[in-house]
Amino acid sequence: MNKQMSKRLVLGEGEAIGHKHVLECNRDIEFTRHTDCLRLQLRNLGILTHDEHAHMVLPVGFHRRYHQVEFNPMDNTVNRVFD
Amino acid sequence: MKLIDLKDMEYSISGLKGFTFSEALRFWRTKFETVKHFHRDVITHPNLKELGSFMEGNWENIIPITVQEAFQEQNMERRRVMFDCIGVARLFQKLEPELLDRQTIGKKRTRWNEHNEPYEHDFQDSYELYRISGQKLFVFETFQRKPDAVYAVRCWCTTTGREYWIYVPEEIATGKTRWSSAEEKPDAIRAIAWTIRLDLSHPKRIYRQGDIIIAEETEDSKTVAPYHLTKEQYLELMFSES
Repeated sequence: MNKQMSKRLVLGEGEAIGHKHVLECNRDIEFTRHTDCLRLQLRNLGILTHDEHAHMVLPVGFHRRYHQVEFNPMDNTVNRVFD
Repeated sequence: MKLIDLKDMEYSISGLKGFTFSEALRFWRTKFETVKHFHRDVITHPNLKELGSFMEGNWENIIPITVQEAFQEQNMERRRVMFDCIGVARLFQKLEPELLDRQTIGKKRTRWNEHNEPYEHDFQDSYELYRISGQKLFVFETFQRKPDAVYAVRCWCTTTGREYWIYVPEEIATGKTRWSSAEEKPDAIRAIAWTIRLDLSHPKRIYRQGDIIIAEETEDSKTVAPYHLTKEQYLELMFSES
């Protein structure tokens, strides 16, 4: 769980056409990858954008990124959804 | 690795081994919307590069399997894999599922203008919960076990209008465990809430952009075992959705 820094972070890739959920901040975003999430710290407002969705403004503080999940009745597992 | 080796190999799909090369090609063609999706999930090792190149060159010529073929398959494990490859949306559209619950809720969510100033966005969001009986999907030759029904919630992206079908577990769909004699209380909102899984306590609020979920921590937040949102948590915590 090494801490990493970046001003631009891809939080997820959407459909095959390559749309991405991108978080940007004018100060470094500190983030660590965990088993179930990506934990990140914003030291200024973060702007989350995607070509097909309205943008969002995330406040200063700690946040966790997850993926929506679905059940697989064929093998009774829980897996992430790809939009 | 030579292509001749690829053709001689045995393949595992959706956790089941024993597929020939030609079977695997058709199953993958069915399972993945594009060759890019195939690459993302299957070509996970440099040794599989040859297979990736082969698929790229032949993707359009491979014939996907059909729902009818799945029903002709007598081996139930293979049939399960076929259903898995066909996917929830096509399966539910083909098999006339039973509508268990439909709810439209008025949502007030925060959005931001071009100057990143917040405003309230009011909209209606609909969710439908469906069931396909196990008898429609699986024909068991013994009486030891009743085939399981499958459940899915249908929803629409309020931004793109795209339709989504998401499988949910039976106890979430019906509100009862299989061994309980309680009455079923299907709830489409409970079902969609279940699709959000967090691992932190005391989240302040939740942002959803497509399939990406962002949970804002509070000072009291701690890492806990992953849990799915309840209907009440979903209705209380969702702050922004697009």
